[in-house]
Amino acid sequence: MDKTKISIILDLARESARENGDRVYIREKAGKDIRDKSFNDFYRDACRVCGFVNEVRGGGEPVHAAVIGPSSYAWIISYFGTVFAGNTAVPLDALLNTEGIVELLNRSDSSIFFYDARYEKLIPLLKQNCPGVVKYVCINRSAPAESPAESSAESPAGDLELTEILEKYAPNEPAPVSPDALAAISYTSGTTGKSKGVMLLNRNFIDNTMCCDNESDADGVVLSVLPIHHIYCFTCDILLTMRYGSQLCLNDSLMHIPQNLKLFQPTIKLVVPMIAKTIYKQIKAAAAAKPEIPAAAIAHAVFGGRLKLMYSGGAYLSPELQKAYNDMGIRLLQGYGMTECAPRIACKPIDCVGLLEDVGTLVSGCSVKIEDGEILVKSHSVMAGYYKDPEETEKSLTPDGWLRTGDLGYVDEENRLFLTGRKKNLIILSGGENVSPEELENKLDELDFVAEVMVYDDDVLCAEIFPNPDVCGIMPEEELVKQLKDAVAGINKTLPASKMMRRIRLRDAEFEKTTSKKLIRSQSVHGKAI
Amino acid sequence: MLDKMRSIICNYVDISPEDITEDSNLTDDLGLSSYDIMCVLGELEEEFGVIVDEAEIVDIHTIGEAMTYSKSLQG
Repeated sequence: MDKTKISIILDLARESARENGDRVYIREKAGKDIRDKSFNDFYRDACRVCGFVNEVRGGGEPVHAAVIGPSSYAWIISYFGTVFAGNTAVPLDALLNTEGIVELLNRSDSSIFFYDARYEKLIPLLKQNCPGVVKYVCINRSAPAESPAESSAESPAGDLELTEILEKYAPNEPAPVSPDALAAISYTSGTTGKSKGVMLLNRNFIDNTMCCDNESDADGVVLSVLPIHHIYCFTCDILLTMRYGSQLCLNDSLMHIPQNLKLFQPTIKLVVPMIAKTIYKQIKAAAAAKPEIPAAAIAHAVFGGRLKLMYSGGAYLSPELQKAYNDMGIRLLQGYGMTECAPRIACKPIDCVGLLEDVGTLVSGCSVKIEDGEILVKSHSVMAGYYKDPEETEKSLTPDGWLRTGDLGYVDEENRLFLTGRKKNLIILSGGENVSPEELENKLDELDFVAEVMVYDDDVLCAEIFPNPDVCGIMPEEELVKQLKDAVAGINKTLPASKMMRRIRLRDAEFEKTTSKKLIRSQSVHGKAI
Repeated sequence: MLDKMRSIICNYVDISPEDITEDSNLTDDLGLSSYDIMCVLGELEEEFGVIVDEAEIVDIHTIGEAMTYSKSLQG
């Protein structure tokens, strides 16, 4: 693909359709079958959705459209149809609870809500609480409504099915927009507990899509297993397959990765370290059961027979695991990035050998400087700021355009980036989920029998609690333990699975604090697990 | 069913099958990661010919709960 012709997301999709035509682009499971969509199908369907979004916009300012659901072709065309004509997509985490969906629909000023059928029961509540949303579009209904009469009785005016949109609107090519048009508001966890809306422009995505070369080709088959709302999945699975003309196979559930590896036989896969670790355990167990077969042969079979390359991002990848994969004949390459940088900052080159401790070589066009140990980056991928949050924007972006990563590290003479720690308190679980400890601590602090609490990563999320002696002084320990467990279970019920506190520790002394009474997070913790 | 569960779980953690009981907590006692648990449930789907609803996974914390859930799916 001629990079010089591509400056907006519409260009990328159009050129990709022109080059690859009716070749299969997206594959997804539909019951027991596989549904294939070509590059042309994708481009035309996204243009139809674009016609609908533009009609809602009605010639005024660009509109924002939120999209929620598991990975699907419908999700992808809803997103691209929004972005093509300069409107803004708001990808939401499929694990958000109702409260979180309401909050982000309102904070993002979304006018359209594209949702998977599993969220249907929430729609009446969203209509009451999200006055800005004027169109609700169900993108994936597995079974048709029983009868038209029933369907209209249950779907008040303003509700639509994506299939209706695809029938009603012609695939007219949208007019080009500015590379500075806001393409997405992507929400990320913040240290204050309030998620921040990262504003990414068309040119940010294009820069990040073009910042490395030779990562795939037209014979490449990618199995996409990461959450689709996540920037890493969006840029590195969806936009990169479009650039290279590779095939994109959608994984329907984390439960089915082993089956889908055999079904789709990918050549490339993007993972987070936790997934790489689990698959490695499966291979080790299979190798132990059949010692006569070499581990590399077992790995070859487990991965569907064609896998050569895995990219890992989102969390720390140990050198041991990289080595274990490399020994099995599969390149497991680490990268480093953040949502605010669309996301890639550093990547391991495909032909790299030796060193495993760095997180990759700086991608093309990305500059780094170190200030008080912190890594600052500057590139065309760096976000425009946080949506309606000038205070947080000012903290993250310097006046001359450097992005503060919050990570500590250094760059060597060969432009390889090394991380030495995190400046922020944000907990990054091994699955790549970001969890703000303050957000959970604030909830626990509201309980009268909790005097102090610190939430940290203890393989699982752990809440260590110092009970309030005024309230718990004469309480038998069994009673205290029961109350704490019940209270944490109650809070967990209101949280997405990734934020649930799976372990509670009880301590008999206050935490160490700074002179300004702030928790020292680096202190060693020693509470008893209950 | 417990024996089948034991043999599946032993593929993910280095633990003796006899140490896995119905009361074993999947994360705290067995040390399974959230993705390990998804894979275990995927294997149960294949083994028992059932379809697991992802929305209900958050309520499964112990071996016993996973067994009860699988049995309920088998009807």
